[in-house]
Amino acid sequence: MNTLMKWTPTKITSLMALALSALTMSLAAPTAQATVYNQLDADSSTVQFHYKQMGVNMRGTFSQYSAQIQYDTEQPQAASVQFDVQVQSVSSGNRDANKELANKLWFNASQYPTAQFTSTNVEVVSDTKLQVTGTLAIKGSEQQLTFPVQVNHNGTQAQFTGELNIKRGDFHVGEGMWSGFDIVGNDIRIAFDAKVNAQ
Amino acid sequence: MTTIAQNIEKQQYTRTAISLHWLMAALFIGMFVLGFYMKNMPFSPKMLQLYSWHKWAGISIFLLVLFRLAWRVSHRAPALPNTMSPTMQFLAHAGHWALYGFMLAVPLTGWLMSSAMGVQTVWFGVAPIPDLIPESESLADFFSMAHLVLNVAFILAIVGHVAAALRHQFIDKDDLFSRLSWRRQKQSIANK
Repeated sequence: MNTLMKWTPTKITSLMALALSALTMSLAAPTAQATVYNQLDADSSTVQFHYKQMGVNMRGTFSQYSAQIQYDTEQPQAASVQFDVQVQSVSSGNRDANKELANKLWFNASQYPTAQFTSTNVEVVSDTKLQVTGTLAIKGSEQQLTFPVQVNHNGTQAQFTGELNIKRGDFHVGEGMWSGFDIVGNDIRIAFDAKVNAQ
Repeated sequence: MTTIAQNIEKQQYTRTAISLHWLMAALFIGMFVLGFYMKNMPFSPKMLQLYSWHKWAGISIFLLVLFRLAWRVSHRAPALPNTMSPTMQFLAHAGHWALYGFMLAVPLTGWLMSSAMGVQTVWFGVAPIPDLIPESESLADFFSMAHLVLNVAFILAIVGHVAAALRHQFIDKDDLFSRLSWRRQKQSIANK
C-alpha cells in the first residue's frame, strides 16, 4: 500500500502508456510477421542451366517464365509453386545454338512450348531452408524431383534459390545425332533465383 | 675448313628454325582448311567437335609461335643475297615480320573470339585457358570478323611468300631456297 501511495500521477500515466504500447505490439505482431509472398518478380529473377560441351563448362538461360507461388511465412509447410518456363526463350549465348535448341531434336518448342515444375510437397528444414518435392515436365516426359531451396525474406520480397540436377536424356532433350553424351553432356544443373514480392 | 663450314652455315637457318618453318606451314594450312570447312558446316555434334579440335590446335600453334619467335630473335638468320637491292631486302624482311605478326594475331583473335562467345577454351578438354575478355555479343562479332579478316590477309601473305620463293628459285636462281632445306644442311656437313 505504501509503495502504491507513493506513485505520482506522472508515473501512473507512463505505466499506462507502456501497457498500451505492449498491447498494440501484441496485436500488430501477428500481422507483421505473417507475410504472404505470391507475386513473382520475373525481371529480377533468373533461370540458368549448366552443362558440359567437349569438356567445357557452359551456361545458358531461359528469359521467359511465369509462376504461381504461395509462401506464407506463418505456414511455410503449406507453400506451393507451379513454375512455367517458355522453352523458346532458351539462350546459350550462341545464335546458331539457340535456333537448334528450339528444334525438334532438342526442346521441340512448337509442340512442347512449356517446361513445368509443380510442387507436391514442401518440407520445412529450417527458417531458411525448404525441401521441395514435385514433378518436372519437359517435352512430354515427367520426373519426380526433390531438392533443397534456400529462402530469405525481408517483409516485402522473398528470395528462393536452389538447384535441380537432371539428365537431359531422361527428357529426350537432344535426340538423334545429339543422343550421345560425348559432345554435349547428359548432366544438366538448373539453377534458379526467384524473387517473389508480398501481395 | 671451319671458315668454309661457318660460311655455309651462315647461308642457312638452324635445324630448329627449319623444322619449325615446315611444321608450322603444314599446321597453318591444315587449320585454314579445317577453319573454313567447319565454319560452313551445319550445326551438329561433329561441328562442335571440330571447333574444339580447332581451338586445341590453335592454342598449341600459338605456343609454338611464341617459341619460334623466341628462337628467331635469339639466333641470327642467314643474310639475304647481295644480288637483292636494298629495297627488295627491306621488303623481304618486312614480309617475314608480317608473317610472324599474322602467326600471333590469328590464334590470339580466335582465343579472344571464343571467350567473347562465352565458350572457354579447354586445351585438349583438360586444361582450361583463361578468358581474357568477358562474354559479350559485340566483342564476339568484332573478334570473329577480325579472325576472318586476319586469316584471309595471312593466306594472301603466304601466297606472296611462296611466290617470292618460287621467283628466287626459278627466275633469280639465287638458291635462296636452300636456306630452309634439309638436304643442303646435310651437304654442308658432308662438305666439312
